[in-house]
Amino acid sequence: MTGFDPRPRFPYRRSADQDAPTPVRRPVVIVGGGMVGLTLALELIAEGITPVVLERNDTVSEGSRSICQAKRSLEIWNRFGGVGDRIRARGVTWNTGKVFFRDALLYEFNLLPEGGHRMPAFVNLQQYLVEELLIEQLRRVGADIRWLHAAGAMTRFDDHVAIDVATPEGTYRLECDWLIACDGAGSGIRKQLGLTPEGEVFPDKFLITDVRMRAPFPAERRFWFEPPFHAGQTALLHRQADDVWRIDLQLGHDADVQRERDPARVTERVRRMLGPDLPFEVAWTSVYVFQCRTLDRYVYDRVIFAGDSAHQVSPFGARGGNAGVQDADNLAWKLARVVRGTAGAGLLDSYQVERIAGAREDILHSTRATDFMTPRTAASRAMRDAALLLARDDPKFRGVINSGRLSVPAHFPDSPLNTADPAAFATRLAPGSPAVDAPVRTVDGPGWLLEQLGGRFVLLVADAGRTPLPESMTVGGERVDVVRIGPAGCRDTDNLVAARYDLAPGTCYLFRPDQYIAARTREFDRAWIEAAISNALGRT
Amino acid sequence: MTERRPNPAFSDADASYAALVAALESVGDARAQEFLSRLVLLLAAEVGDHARIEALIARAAASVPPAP
Ligand SMILES: Cc1cc2nc3c(=O)[nH]c(=O)nc-3n(C[C@H](O)[C@H](O)[C@H](O)COP(=O)(O)OP(=O)(O)OC[C@H]3O[C@@H](n4cnc5c(N)ncnc54)[C@H](O)[C@@H]3O)c2cc1C
Repeated sequence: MTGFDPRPRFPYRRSADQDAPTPVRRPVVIVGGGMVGLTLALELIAEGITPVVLERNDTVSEGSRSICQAKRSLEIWNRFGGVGDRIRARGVTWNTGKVFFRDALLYEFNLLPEGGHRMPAFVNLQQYLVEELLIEQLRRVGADIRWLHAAGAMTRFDDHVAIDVATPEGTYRLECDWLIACDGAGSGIRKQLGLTPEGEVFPDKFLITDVRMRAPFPAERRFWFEPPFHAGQTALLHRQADDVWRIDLQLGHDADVQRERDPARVTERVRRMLGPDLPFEVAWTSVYVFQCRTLDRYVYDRVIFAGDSAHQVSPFGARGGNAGVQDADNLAWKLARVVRGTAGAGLLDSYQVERIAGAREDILHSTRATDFMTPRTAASRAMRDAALLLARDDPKFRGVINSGRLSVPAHFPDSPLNTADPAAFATRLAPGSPAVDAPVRTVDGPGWLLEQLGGRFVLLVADAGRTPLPESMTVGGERVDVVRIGPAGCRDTDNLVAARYDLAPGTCYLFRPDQYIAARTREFDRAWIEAAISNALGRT
Repeated sequence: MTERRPNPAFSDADASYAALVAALESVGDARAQEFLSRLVLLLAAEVGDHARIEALIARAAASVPPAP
């Protein structure tokens, strides 16, 4: 590995827990300080719980791996000190994708065709820089990240989990009420439980490389089927921050991994793609075989899986890290209420019900994309090539072409936390949908709807100014803030809140702390709303 | 709009079949797969409805045992 700026190093520190005469009991230990563990730590700290994060390395992700950070991830991160905005400012914003077949453009797509959203469809920022920004924010809020503390043997008890932690100064034991395994695709915690995710391994090998260059190409996603520079295979080119570009080259089934890693060979392949005149430097190379698979449960008593430890997808669709961030966002508020004792028995279970549904959707899309790129038989390749030729001449067939259906947030129409609509709504949104953004104006000036939601239950009420409403409600120890849309509260300056949510005077939407819709009704009915809140807390 | 009747006749079945065979014989075995792939996609787009397409795939597959 060459060419990247040096990664920051975070020093090992001795924790007071290492000197305690008996193991210290913590409410939450997170194993793994990758994208998902770090996001979860930010979330839990905002909920008032400081987890211990154990990280066996002393730095951020070695390879750049995840580059496409989706709108939903940016929205989630923005709730924590504006990290989403910082990632956007540091990264490359893009909405356009182009698909090429042989030497011609097949079609182009726009991932965010409508305005009135704070965040773009995607920001490209390499994983190590995302993690740096997350760590910077975690430091501001006093996180307990333990670098060079590696989780080892785990013992599960009825009411806690004990974990042996290896450090440069020897091993100590830590206890916790909840252990969250964010230790990545090769999860050691998962192995200790003897669990294997179920799914599919794809036969093809892919060369993933990052090159540094000053290139004149726009910040769009370019994908080729059978390009002249890489016969019979697929290729992808995508811009990242700091003049770094991601290149994926499909190598086929029989590629020799060792040989393909050879820097001279990589350089030759890249030069064929970029042409003889563009100077570039290969900064990072890896050869991957991809898989799409998930555990069939994520909660094992007091051990919970999130991120790549729970599920993995091929990267065409940018769904891996973005799913993990959604896992963290889904889990944090639920776990916090379990720790505080205000949740019902069903709340933690709803984490796995919802996020397994999300993982299966991601796996479906990533599998289809990878299958499209890597036909396994001569006949399926003939079908794929026929589809490409038809799509070139007839736009109707573009829908068949799959170079990755890019990450969108999961919808949970079947979530046990939803309450059925008592009235008709004319909108794509429903209970179990994540909030969609829209511009608003508050007393502080222009803002966004999503800034009014999240971190607590919110009842959004479209009021005509006269309806008598409380400022907040408390249901079984859970505080619910009332946010008014209308002249007496948050102004719907562009009428987009009304349009996107099908609001009429009196319409109420109940949002969960992760900004998902739990319930909605056409009039403020306190008893109905209290029942919906109880249900959203897993109490029924 | 494509017609949505369950069986838009297939009334000139003899002629349709003869046209299929003629096309297959004219492209030859070496390029039959290419031809058939394209034809299947065109026909699938005509049928349109995913549930019907799936049912037809299943019906065709039912008489062809999977490769070992
Ligand atoms: C080529 C490629 C491209 C990708 N592109 C995208 C993309 O564009 N968008 C996207 O969303 N996703 C993408 N992904 C997927 C993304 O990289 C992963 O989904 C993401 O890293 C998962 O985060 P994680 O925190 O679950 O795991 P990881 O990032 O793997 O982090 C796990 C952490 O746990 C630590 N750890 C492991 N074991 C222990 C232990 N015993 N004790 C202490 N610490 C431990 C590790 O050191 C590591 O820091 C891509 C992946 C690849 C390979």
